[in-house]
Amino acid sequence: MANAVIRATLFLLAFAMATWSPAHAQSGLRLAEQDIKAGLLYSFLRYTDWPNPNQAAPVRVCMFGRDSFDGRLQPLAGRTVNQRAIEVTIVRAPAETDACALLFVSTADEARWPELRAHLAGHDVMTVGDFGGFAASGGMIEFVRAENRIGVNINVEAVRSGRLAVQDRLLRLGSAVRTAATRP
Amino acid sequence: MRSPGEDKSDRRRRLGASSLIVVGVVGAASLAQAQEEIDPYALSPEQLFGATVVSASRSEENLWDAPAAIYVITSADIERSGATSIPEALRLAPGVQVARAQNSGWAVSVRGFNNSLANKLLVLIDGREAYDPLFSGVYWDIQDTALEDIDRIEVIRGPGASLWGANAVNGVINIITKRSSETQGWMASAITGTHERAVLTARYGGALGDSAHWRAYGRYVDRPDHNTLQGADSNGDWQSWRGGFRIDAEPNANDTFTLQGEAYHSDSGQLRGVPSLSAPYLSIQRDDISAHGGNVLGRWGRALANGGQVTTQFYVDFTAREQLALKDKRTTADLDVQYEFPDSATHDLIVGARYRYTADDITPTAIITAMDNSHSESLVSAFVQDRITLAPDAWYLTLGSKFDDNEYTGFEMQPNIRLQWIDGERQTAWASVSRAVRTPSELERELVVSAGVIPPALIPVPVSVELRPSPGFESEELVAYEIGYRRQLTPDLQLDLTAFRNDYDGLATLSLTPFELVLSPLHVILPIAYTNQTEAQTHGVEAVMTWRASDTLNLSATYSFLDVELHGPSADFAINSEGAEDTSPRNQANIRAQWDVSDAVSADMTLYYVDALPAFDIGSTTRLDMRVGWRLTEALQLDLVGQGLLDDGRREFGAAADINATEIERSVYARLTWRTP
Repeated sequence: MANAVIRATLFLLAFAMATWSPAHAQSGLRLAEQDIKAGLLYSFLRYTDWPNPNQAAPVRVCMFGRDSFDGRLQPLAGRTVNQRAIEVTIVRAPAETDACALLFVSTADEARWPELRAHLAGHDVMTVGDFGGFAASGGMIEFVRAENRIGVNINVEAVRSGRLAVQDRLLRLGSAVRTAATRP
Repeated sequence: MRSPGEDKSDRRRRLGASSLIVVGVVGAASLAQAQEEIDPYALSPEQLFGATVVSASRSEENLWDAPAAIYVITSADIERSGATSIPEALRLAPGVQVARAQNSGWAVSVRGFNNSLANKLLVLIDGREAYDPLFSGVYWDIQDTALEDIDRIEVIRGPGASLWGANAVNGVINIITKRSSETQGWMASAITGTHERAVLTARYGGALGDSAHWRAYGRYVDRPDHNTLQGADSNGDWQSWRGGFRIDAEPNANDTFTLQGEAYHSDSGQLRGVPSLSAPYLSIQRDDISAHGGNVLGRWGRALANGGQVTTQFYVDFTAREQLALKDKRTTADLDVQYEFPDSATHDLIVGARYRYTADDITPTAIITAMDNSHSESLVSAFVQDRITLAPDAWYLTLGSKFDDNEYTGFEMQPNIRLQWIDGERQTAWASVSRAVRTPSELERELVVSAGVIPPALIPVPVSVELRPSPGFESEELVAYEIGYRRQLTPDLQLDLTAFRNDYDGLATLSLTPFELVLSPLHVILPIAYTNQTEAQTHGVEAVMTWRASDTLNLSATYSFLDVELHGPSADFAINSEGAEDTSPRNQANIRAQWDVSDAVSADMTLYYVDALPAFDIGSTTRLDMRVGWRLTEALQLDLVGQGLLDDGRREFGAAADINATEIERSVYARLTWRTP
């Protein structure tokens, strides 16, 4: 009986807590991980200058291998950046990536990255990866999950070798990473 | 390369920026939340970096197009479910039968044949096999790694994946812990409640130079016994401790290394009937169950210049167990090499080879003795799997097979064929046919088990019933047919359907062999041999529906139907006799709500339905679990959890007459978790 009373009290207490929201709680934005990343891809387009842009052609955002955004990147296709329309496509072979302004590589395709990197060397394609070690292995921007927020590691060296100019506003928000030495 | 100092200042700068921005966007955020839908493309990068993630993990997304019946329990699911052990967390998955038979003992199976010694299931923890080759089953009391370290549990129903190891007959449970980089800083948690006297976990993670991270943890668990039907309340008291480490390194772009290890000790107990050839012929004794062990595992992944990938894994595992019936020490060494060929336009080819050596040392007891006290065996196996693109973005064919050479039955082939259709990333359907075998374990081939002594009555001398080593016992065989369909109905609503039919042949049965007369002391032995005389058909359906009702509310429901038909000898003592059909529930369902009440408060409710188990005279049960979590500060979280709230207690497995029959009682506990922000 005494136990039952204690249990009932505990639960009343629990629900009292559930319904009372402390005044100091931050009411920040809450978004699905994919939406945050999708939004950031759009930011990357907006705050980066590509060399010799072709104003007549659309800006191509490519996902490698699959739609790891579950369709949540599609609305980007209706938007513009620098008066150019954005196109969202899935590419499946390294050769198809040449025409991309931005290439997103999900963690499922981590194994393909070395091949893609080799193919893209010297191209002005912004590479964005979703797996650990992406930036250190020569990728430009790597999404990282820090507790319940999304951050980025940026390999400035890789960005420069693609002749892209990423604005300070973005660089400030990311962590700088350099390409790790590869063993011979 | 950045130095650790730079790393820290970078992080501080980023956090500083985010917290400033949070203040700035409060207005915009509440406005956006009022409109329910937030357009991520309308947000600034500062707002996006400051936003809190509410969705599930990305592993789930990767498995979306897997042509197999797979269900992922994420770390958030585990935390929110209130489960305090791995088997309890498995209740969330469809097609899995979980029953807590005793305080420290669970019966867990996939697609039927549930038993405390269930032997058609492969359990892997970070690539290490967790089942004991002695009886091909899992001792769940020693699989109690810190739940806070688990990244996800992948539950694969069906034999399908030719990639997995031996014993993956009805399913695979793949427990994957977090990478060290994801567990940096301090974490400490303490649980106390009515049936969790103390569960204490502490973990610290740090960096090793520029490209490696590590963590170490310790855990202590003390669980008072649940109410046994026999009234002896404290035999099942359970204490255990465990400690371990993990190091992950990426020294360059092509190599990844993992080294991890752990040591554990568990003390629990039960009652045990010990047979003897003189009066009283059976004595009930307190049975102290003591288990300890440890393991070390290393994994090296290397991306080759040609685009291929080689993964090499090696582990050594030591485990020892002492109880009245069994005293066994075992050492296992396992080497596994896998090669993924560079992708071509039409083929995704993976090959692998594996060698396992296991040796055990049995000390004879009154109940179990072995033909040879020291026994060792080698297993050599190889697999090949090719995913062939028949039509890009539409049709894929997966062909694979596993080839084993084991000591008891020699060469075994386990082929698998899978056809998959993918439609525009929004829906997929698949069908598969596979063959799998459960090879004999030491129990069936090496051990003498004294099952009991019949006191003199009609026969004027004691009769000892003995399970004998059975050289004629062969592999149990399964041919499985499966179909599945997955569909993203709306961006927030997902449906997953699976149906299967399993045809089993040569399932284990027990058969009498001619009696033997022993003169000193005078008694008769009734020897029983393992035979392969049962055929079985099972079929079933599993459905999962998940709905992200809003940014703050996730709902999901699962339903599993299972029908088991056994055709075998009718003798009462035969395992897998027709009476054993009803040890797994026909219908199971659960409904789950995960609600983020505010930024600081979250609440969860899970309702489980489990159909009756007529074999044990157990009625259907409905179980309600609730959790309320309150983030007190950035670093401190308090959870209050109630499990089995609808009744005082219920027997989940085993006959009421069993001396260890246990009523699993309602449990209420509080959990305090501290993480360095």
